[in-house]
Amino acid sequence: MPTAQPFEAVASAHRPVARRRAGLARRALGGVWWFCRRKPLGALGAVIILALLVMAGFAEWIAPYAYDEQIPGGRLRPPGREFLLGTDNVSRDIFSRVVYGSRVTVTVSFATVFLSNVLAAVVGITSGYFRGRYDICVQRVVDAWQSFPFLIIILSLLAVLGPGMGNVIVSLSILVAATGSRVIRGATLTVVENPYVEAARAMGGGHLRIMALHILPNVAATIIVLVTIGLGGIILAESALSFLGYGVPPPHPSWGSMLSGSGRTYMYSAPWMAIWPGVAISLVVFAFNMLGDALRDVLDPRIRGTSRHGRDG
Amino acid sequence: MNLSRRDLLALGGMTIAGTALTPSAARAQGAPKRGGEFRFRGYTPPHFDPHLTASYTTMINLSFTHSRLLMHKTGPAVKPGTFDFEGDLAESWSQPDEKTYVFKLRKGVRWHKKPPVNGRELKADDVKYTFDRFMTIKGNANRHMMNALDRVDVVDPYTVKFTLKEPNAWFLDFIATPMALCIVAKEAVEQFADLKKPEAVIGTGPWMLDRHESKVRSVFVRNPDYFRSGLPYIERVEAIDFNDPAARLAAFVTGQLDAGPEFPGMMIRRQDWKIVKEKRPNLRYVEFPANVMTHVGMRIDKKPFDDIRVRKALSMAVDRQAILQATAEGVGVMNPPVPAAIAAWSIPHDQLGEGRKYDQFHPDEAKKLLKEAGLGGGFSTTLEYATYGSQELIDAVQMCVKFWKDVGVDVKVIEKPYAAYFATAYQGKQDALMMGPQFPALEAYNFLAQYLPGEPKNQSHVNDPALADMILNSSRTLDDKKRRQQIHDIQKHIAKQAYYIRLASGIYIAALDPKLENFGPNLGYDYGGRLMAAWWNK
Amino acid sequence: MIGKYALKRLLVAIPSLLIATVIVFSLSRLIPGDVVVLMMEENQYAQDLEEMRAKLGLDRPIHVQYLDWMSRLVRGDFGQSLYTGRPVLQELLRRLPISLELGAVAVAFAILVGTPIGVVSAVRQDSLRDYGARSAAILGLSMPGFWLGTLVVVLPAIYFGWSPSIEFTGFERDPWRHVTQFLVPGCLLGIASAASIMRLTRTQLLEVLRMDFVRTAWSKGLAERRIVLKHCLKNALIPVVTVLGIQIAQILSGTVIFESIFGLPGMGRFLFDAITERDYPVIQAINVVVVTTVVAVNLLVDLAYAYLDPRIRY
Repeated sequence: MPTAQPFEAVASAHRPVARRRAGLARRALGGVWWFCRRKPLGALGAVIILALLVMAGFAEWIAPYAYDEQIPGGRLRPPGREFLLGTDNVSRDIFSRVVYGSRVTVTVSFATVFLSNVLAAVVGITSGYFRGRYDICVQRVVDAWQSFPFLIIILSLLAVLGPGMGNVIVSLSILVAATGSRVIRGATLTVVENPYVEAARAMGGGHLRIMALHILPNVAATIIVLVTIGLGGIILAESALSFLGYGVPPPHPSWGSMLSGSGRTYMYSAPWMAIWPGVAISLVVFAFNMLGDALRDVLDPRIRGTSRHGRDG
Repeated sequence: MNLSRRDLLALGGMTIAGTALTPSAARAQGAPKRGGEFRFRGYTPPHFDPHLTASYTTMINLSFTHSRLLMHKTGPAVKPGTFDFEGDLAESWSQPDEKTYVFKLRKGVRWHKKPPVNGRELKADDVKYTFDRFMTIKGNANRHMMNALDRVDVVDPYTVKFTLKEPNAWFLDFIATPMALCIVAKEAVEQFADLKKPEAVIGTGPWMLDRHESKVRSVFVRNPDYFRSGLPYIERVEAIDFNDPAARLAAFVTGQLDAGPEFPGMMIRRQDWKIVKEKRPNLRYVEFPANVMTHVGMRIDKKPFDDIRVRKALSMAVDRQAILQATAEGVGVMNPPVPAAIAAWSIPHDQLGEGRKYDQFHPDEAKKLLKEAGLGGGFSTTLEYATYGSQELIDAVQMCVKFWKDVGVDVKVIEKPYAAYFATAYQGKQDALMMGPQFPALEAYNFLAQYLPGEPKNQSHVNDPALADMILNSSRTLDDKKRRQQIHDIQKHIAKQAYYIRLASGIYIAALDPKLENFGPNLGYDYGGRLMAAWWNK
Repeated sequence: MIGKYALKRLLVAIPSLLIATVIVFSLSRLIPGDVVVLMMEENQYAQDLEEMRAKLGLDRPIHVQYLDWMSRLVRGDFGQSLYTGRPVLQELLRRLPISLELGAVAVAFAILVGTPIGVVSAVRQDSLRDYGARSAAILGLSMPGFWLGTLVVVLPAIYFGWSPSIEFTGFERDPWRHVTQFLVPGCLLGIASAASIMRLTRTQLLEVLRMDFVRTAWSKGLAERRIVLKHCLKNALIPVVTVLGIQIAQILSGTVIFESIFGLPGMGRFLFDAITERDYPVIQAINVVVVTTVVAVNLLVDLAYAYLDPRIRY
């Protein structure tokens, strides 16, 4: 199966020898090593994401200042030794704000991905499992949702629901779920064909039990890939919403609002205020895209070109 | 300008060029030339009917096309922030008694040559028609301006008499306000049902609306039959509606606009001054204090804000100069209850007396006061606001929250969409605190009305009978000097009670093409009136 | 054969479109009750609550209201804007072409840039050029569009004293300027799609290059250029066509951002203004138009796909 990744040709000669005797930990380590060798860019992505998670989890320890601390005499300092990434117009340390900003990024993107994939899994698995009329009806609804340009329907939803982090997450989730459910349904259709599903049914297993025990584990790989690819798009969507004034409101700094709000306001006099959150967004999205691509090749080469929400502005 | 140098906070090495504050009157050279085009950043109004909206976007557009009875003096000799009257449609006016005003109209004023009015002469009937419509039409958000008006009578074709229910010292200020009270034509209303459509924009003003493309531009062309003969000089005015601030500045520095693009009127943001000077050397700049005053309203009908010590503490916890530093490069003025920009009525901040202290940054005293009020352990509350799309406001809100946090008060910010904010917090329907800019009026009354019980803009729910008496009394005092003293006393009283937390205002920088002669920028929406006598020296 | 397929495909599209209209229609039902009161008070959209509810279609049972709304839609009556009081259709007809022109430039850019780079990248797999192209593609997918747009407006203004015109020029005023003003925002809008198309073209072409008939061609000693262009590209491009359908939705989304930055009075800007003004009839109308466009484009794309690749049938 040819893939989109160039490293395959280089790496294919080195399929790792599974050292099964070496115990679980070692096997896991071996898996990681194998992944790194085979998909160096994906591994790089994973490292960046790990850094993001650490940043979000330990912001208090990493950031030299609080996100809202106004440093006396420290207004609009360019990046340098004293302030790594400079300071903003409110005399706040930009590095600290970028670090704390990762929390919003992580919260919004992971919450959205979680919510949307639960929704997508429920819709996708039931649809692929039951098939028939239920499937047809559900798929038409999914079709309808998929026909809405992302930003347009989401703005319309937020116009009705009002701004706020919760509403941003809910509206993003509904949209992302539509696409995800389609892919999960496809995966389910293949899994259902397997004899063990037939066997489970013959042994009188309930639908719920079969779906939970036999189908879900087998489409899990697909879901993991979807999650990773989706995260990048969600981060970009959040920043686009910030630009349009419907992002996550203060006081918590979000990269999107740092870039589109104060960043753009001081573009001409203090460009670093925009550059760093911009870099942070691009880097993390880049990382999710890379990791997603790599995971897709490794786990589930069937889905391709599904990054519908790659970028919406 | 009553503004002393001491009032200008020049922090962090920022100073204002002294010359820029006093525009020289004798800049214009040579004889005025007719012709040319003026391009500025304009605004698409929801519609053009001045009696059915309070939107400044409508008013700015109509300032080019319509006239009113009185207008504010304009030109480079006028100090920004001063608003003396002169006749517009009225040739002269008199006040035979406390409750009566008589306006003599100019003769030979013609409506624009557009159907269905077709250039007929404007007469006293038109004035009466306009005011009757203003008073009776449903949904006029500005009607309160004429609350004192009892009736309008036509004395003869060129004389109108206004009778008030009670004396009102601000009556002429309202008559001169741009542009809610511009005179409209009956035929246009009858033909189009209302004045919302661009075709219905038929006035007696210096320019005529030639074309209106929603969210793109309004184009105005010279009215050849304008009653001030020879005026206006500029042939064509193009108001380009443009949304994005970064792109707006890019357009200005690359010469696509003749005047600074920021609201309200031909400004640039201070942080952009350097790049503007670099990219467009030789521009003319005029600086004057902003009349937009942001304040924090507190529900003083509720605990704990009923305790004056809490209000003082919250006020003294806020470092206004730091906010000014962050949002306006440290250049601005402290605001007494009537903003410093309204030079005629504002009390100089250093004469504010006892209340002056509460505008200053004393965090330790704030903590002490909270302790005295039994809130030494701090408390939690909420603040409602809308961003107005302004990063300056967002920053100011966040800074205030931080300052309060530093004295132990935990304030949760609730951001509302503009419309929702306007209908709730702006009208005092917030839970605890609200924060936002006040209506940028050009006279003092609007800033005092928010202390009257029952007034929708009384966001702090002030219920102070003595103060209300003082305010109403001043409105009945026709002598300007006496009234000024009363209003100064009112401001002292208000400051002492710490009813609102007033922030400082920035100093606007109007940026203009140097070849535009005989033009003086000012506060307010009368773009057309100020441009009327300007000309291009190219 | 293709006719039958077209019919089948149409039968799938119509219910989707109907469901989409139900979703759009339900939007106004989600407006909280107090907001309806607010709309009346703050924007003077109506004299009293009854009238406000009627204007939003909240005064009748939902199915009656929906049928009425649909039947008016079909007749081309999109209702009136609450904010301006003007018919929505009139405004839509003025703005839709602007967004379509912008979208067309974006699609053209995406194809003209994405395909050749994808081909080079595949043919010279794992070369420096391949890495460069792929990194650029991922970078293109990783930057917020509004940030790209801002840079393109601001940087030339600072360094070259030039900036894209802020003034929209209508076709009737100056056709040349009218068309050229779409170039910069259109290309920016197309970057993300170009990146997607590049990646897909590369993958597909790699797949085709390994097929038997290509090996045969190689062994016959045909020139490389000829093999790639004649035999492979046609086969590789078929799936790329389908991606276009997906990209249309993405591009329409981007119009909201780029029309705002570049001052183009299209549908995206219209929607954004309507949202600020809580002008729900306009929001609904725009959603209907946009969804219909997307469904129609996808239908055409699928038909084209079926035509190009006769193997694909339901």
